[in-house]
Amino acid sequence: MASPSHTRTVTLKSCDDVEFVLDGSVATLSQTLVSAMAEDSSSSDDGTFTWCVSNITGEVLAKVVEFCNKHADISSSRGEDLKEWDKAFISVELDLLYDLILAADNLNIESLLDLTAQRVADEIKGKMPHEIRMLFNIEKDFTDEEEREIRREHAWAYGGESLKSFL
Amino acid sequence: MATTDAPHPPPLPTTAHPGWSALGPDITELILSHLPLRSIVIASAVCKQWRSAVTHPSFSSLAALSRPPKPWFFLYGLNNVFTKNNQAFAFDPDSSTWSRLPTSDDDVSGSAGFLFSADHSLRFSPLLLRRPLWRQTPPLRVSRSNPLIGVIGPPGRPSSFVVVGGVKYIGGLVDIEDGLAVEVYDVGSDSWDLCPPMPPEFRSHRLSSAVIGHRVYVCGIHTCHVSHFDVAMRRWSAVRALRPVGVQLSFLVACADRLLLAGLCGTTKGPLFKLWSVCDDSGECVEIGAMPQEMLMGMFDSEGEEEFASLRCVGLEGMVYVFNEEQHRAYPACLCEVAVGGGCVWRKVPELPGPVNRFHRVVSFCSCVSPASVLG
Repeated sequence: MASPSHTRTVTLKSCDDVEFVLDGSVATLSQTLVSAMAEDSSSSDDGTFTWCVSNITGEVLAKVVEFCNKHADISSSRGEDLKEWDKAFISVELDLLYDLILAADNLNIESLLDLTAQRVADEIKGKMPHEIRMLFNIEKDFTDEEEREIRREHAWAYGGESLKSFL
Repeated sequence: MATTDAPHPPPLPTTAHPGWSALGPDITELILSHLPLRSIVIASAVCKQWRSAVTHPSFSSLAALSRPPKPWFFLYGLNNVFTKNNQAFAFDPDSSTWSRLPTSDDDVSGSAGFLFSADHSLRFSPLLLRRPLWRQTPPLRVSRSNPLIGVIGPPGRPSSFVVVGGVKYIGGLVDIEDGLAVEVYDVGSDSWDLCPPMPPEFRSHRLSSAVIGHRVYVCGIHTCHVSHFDVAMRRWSAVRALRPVGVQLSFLVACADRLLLAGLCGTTKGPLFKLWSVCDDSGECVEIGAMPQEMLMGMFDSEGEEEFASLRCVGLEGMVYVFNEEQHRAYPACLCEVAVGGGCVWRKVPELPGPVNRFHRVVSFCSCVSPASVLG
């Protein structure tokens, strides 16, 4: 039988073969690892467990491990301090943010998913549809007429100019 | 998960973030659920994938988890002579912004995500739509204008509407007692039930109301008389006076399962606006906070007692809005967020987006608004 997950050591391996060693208690932040360890019965003797994370690079995985170490450390996880730390941690370029979201989703780390989602939402907030499309390189798949109709329907959200068109 | 690029036009030099539109629907929904409502509405115009994310049936409950909804403040300005001068505004405390809304030529009020208009029957529509999607009830027993309306039932799925007072007097043909008439509309059966009238203490007084569970609380803002109508029992409670020392004007606010009293007090230090938590059994009022006095004074021209007669207050679920109904001041407002533990945080509401027309009357109310009701 496998040892309880928090007493084991976990080795995470990125897609470019960079390895990170985590305490079992840190790894429990990831639901993916918790499930995988529960199912695993191979390495019960030495208490280590290795997990290969496909499509996440060492650079991104290093950030994920940094996040998990901080959040698993109960002595430092006090409300306001941790909020400040999170804020600094997530002040990254959009490219890295995108990779972090995928990694948080892949490893199913709820607190990291929420943090990254909030950070992306902060980028969206206050922007108009065309600005959002440009920032995130999203293709506009509405026709001009469809977009006009959607905007007319909720003119209050767009402020002055669209409002005039129907008042 | 696939992160390869969908076929895109050649990327602009400033946008080197491939694959955002290739994120799965779950992650897209999660990201968009962290936005304030106004941004959610704008996000629905970005692309089809985002539109289907925010209109998905599960989205509203996810959004409520990611960002607990805070009740909005609505102000409908009505001009009796030129209805084209009517204006409507809504304040979102989450983004701290005002929006202009489509106006209504009819008398309106609002509660629990709905806009209401009463006359011979009651009409109701979700709030914030460009053209209200009115649903009309069968005729009321008594025609009304600006009655109090209490919405009973969980958010978005009301079971009944309680319509209190606001009876129209046409040529003296209506018995004066009917001025207190109460009718309950059952949404499921689409039918009205005439109920015991409001106690006579509330006749011809300006009222404030609050709904907690199956009870509609009513308070005379000048008399401090309070009673509640129990919708399940179809019964009014005995009238009692909730009159903390010095109170001159008082209003009711429902805060989860707690009843708050908000009121203007004359004190030795001058006028103060205070909040009390009301103990339902004893009627005892325990003060939980007071608006900073300079903030209160900032909404009025002088300290004269008459000056404060135009003070009004509406609130819901931990948000209390206080404003001056006086035209020439352009309706300045302040708000207070009451924490679960009871702590109060006060702040000024930004000015209304100008130009603000002249109104003869303003209707104000407080309501939560969910993405589902707005985006349909």
